[in-house]
Amino acid sequence: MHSVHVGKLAGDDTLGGAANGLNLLAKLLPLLSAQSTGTAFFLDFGDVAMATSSFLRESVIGLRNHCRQNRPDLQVVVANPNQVVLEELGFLLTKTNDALVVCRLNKAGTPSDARVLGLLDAKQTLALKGVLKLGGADAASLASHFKDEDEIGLTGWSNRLATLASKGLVVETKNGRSKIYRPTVEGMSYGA
Amino acid sequence: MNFAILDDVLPDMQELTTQTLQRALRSTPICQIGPVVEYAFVQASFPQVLPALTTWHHSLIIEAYLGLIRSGNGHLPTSASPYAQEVEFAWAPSTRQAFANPAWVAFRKRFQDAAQRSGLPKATAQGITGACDEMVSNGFEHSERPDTSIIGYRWDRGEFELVVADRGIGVLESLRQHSDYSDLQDTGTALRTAMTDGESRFGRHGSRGYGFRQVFLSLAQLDGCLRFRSGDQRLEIAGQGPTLAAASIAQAAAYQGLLVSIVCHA
Repeated sequence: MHSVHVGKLAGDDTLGGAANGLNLLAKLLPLLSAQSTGTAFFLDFGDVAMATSSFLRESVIGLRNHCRQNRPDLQVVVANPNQVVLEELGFLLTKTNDALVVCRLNKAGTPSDARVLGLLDAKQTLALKGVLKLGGADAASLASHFKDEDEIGLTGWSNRLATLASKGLVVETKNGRSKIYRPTVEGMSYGA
Repeated sequence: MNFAILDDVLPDMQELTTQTLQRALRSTPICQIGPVVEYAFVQASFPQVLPALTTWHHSLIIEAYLGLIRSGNGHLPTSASPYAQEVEFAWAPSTRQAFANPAWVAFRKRFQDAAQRSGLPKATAQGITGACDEMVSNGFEHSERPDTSIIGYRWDRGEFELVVADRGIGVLESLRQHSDYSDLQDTGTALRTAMTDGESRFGRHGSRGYGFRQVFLSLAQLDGCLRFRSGDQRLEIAGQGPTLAAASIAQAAAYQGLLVSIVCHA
């Protein structure tokens, strides 16, 4: 588990503009090589007073998307955002039909109060709730758990789980031939 | 010189005598940076008609602006001080790397310091700095002439002013580059569109087009005057917690590029 103080890395507590977001992303990418497989990479916003949507899009979402392509074993999590940053991130995610995990992170690096911020469609929501309830699931266990609510096949559940992983909400691990998906941060929640 | 005089005189500048123009333009003291920058940019397009700023009598604001122009395009301020001057102008970064240049970072700190010295709470000053970041980044991304982009601030007790201006392709041409806006005809509509959430030259269905949101957020608790100039139109908003819904659009002298002027009161 690895965390980065965003304000310190960016050199300011007031973060705005797409160009500055891209510059922060350029600083973050080399740090990924030190990150172990299958872990959460925490962007600690505890030292940031405010951040604009453009900045968050290029840095946070940019890093998440980079990991999706190049390090699918890593999940980006936003830690310790204040209310201003949280509202702006929530606004961006809602407008773009996207979602991320946010949480509190203490000095020891232990996360708490983890939750999914943003929007998921009904199918993704069902899959995520299944993973959260079961503590970890594969396509077969979700199909069994929801057999009375949703009759889609294993491929459909696999696709939904893969989408959740691409958003950084669940971590994929291989178990023989099957893939098991666990919440990115233990104890995380979604919705009310 | 102020915006009201520019709006009165410049649209008919080709029909007025030099004497009439000079009398009108010099009829009021120069107290704000926005009118000076707008005049300078318009004058650059009509050098045979409008007197150059160098012919004005001494004014702190004009001297600061001319100092920037004389320093040459892209020349960054040399001061590393984080403390605000009364008035300051700078060339905006014209490359992505230049946004990380220590000279630009120091200017940004002075900008925020000026906002706080004017009496704005720290959180508000941070918000306005974020808004400035967005406007500067917009010029870098959309103007196609980032080398022409300048930024200025001015502060006084109870009042903070900023201006970001470029001589690029302007809002209408920028938006028209995407098929979503191919039937846009006039700059006034283009200005209003560009300032609407989710609208940008990258189209309506992407994750972009929220740059002006920070402008409105930062002024939500303030009394502010906003002025946007591009092409032959101006869009203005004034009042407590200004929003796009309260915008008025009117004809103005031709302006090549985009100018954003904000005056807010603590």
